[in-house]
Amino acid sequence: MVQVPLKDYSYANARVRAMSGRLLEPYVYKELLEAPDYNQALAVLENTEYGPDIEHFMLEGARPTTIDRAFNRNLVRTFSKIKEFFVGRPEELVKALLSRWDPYNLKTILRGMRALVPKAEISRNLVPIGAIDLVTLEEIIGQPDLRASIDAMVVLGREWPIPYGRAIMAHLAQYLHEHDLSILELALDRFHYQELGKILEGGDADTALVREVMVMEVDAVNIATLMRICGLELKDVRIEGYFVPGGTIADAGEFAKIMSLGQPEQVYERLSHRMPYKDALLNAWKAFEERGESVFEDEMQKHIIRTCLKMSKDPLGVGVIIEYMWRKYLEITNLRIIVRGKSIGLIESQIRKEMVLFGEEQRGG
Amino acid sequence: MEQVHPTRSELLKRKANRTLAEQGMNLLKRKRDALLAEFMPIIDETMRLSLRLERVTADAQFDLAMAKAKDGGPAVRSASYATQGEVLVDITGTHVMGVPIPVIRKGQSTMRSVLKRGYSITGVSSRVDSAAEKFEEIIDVIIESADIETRLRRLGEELRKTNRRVNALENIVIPDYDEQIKFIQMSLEERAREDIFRLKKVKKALERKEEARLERLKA
Repeated sequence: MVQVPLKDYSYANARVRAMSGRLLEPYVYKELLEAPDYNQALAVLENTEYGPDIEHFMLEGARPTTIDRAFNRNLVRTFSKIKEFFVGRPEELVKALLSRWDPYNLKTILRGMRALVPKAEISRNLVPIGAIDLVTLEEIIGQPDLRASIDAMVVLGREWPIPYGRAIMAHLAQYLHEHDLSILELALDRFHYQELGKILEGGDADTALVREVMVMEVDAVNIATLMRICGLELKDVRIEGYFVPGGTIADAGEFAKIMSLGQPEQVYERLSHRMPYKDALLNAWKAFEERGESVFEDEMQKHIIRTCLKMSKDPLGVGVIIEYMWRKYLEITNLRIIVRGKSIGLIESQIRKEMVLFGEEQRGG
Repeated sequence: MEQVHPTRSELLKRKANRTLAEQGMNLLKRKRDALLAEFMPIIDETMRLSLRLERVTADAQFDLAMAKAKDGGPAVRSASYATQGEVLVDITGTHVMGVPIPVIRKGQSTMRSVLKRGYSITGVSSRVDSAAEKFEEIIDVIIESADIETRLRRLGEELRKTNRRVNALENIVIPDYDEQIKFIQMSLEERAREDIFRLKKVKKALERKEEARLERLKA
């Protein structure tokens, strides 16, 4: 049967609902968690949707790193398939949802080229599900050095929905002066959400839904940044530079103002007052003393997933796609936690503690 | 026992050597005690650092595994490319009881702020940061351990060497000298007794000769 990409969601959503049926059943998690060791857990996984991907990398050994790559391959394969279902605005929205992988891939290339990592190794760590395809990314990796790769990003970037080359060029002089790669990385992150915000401006309910996801992502980044750097001694650091636009915090000035409060407690209180994530932030604050700032990321991630899993109210909207994507992402995250946990000898209760929204998602899903 | 000439001069030489060996042994015993006094606290420190290294390594491995599990292996490896750096170590030297010992110190702490790891914190999770921080701590502890363990090894070697020397002097060299001195003394005494016996024989022969001459004169 010839696959016909459509400009609405009826066909694609039907396909995505069929794909949802292939998400792992609760009994598979039970078997995985009860597996006595890593190899037994792997044997359970081989009989699932992930079997072909694991088999693909099996020749390289059954280490957790290889299994990670199998999960990566499955994620790329699955999300790439969804992209093929659409043309026009729905395609733009799906690409927008997946676009956060583009700056990740570009940053991986920049880091790898700078550290003189073998090109094949850089390529192995890419997740080519955004707007920039693997061929283009490999063309950039194939350049002889970092400077040539940056030039390639600028030249090839003219064709991308978000022309990241512009952000790189704007900060290249500063990078060449300070030799600090985080300058370019920060520029890419900021530019990505700034441009994504423009793509998602106005529009219909579906656009608004994707915009909501983006706002939550940006808020999660800004909250995590504030909680990570508040209380640090910051000499000669421009706080505004760490602000990512496109979220609830209006501008860099407000970001710097919150940061200037200084101590984590004050920053938390301000954020809790300002952001629409009271419960998530409260949960994070309760565990902050014990687990550190990563708890804010965890709680925000849980909040985003919970929200996204409830977005499929309209069966003919992009919400179905968003829900599936996050369900799949959650599934892979939890599988990685189980596999890693088994590989380092954690017991079932310890693994369950680390899993993301496990019991909750099982009940809801 | 080596070939010994049982002469008086040899006896004097052996006695002088024995005294020297005894003095040497006493000196070495004092050195051994001093080395032990240095060595014992270093053992405690090494044990403390070793336990700390074990704990920090376990924590770091757990954090790394969790970062790889929650963020994905590729994301963690990608961040690791950005964090490459160099570790500066100052190496100087000192002497403890004449033992040359290298002193290894951190040029600057390997612990870096979240803003100085080479990646942008907006794109890397704090789980990766936490793992990076623990691994930086491992480098710190390894440098401290390198210093203390080198000190421990050098002092241990010297202690073993000194102990071996003390034992050799105490159990082999000095008893050997004692035996040799005893042998020479016995030989000399034996020779003296033989001399006395021979002199007595000569004296008796002379006396007999004198008696015979006197009898001849009387006759």
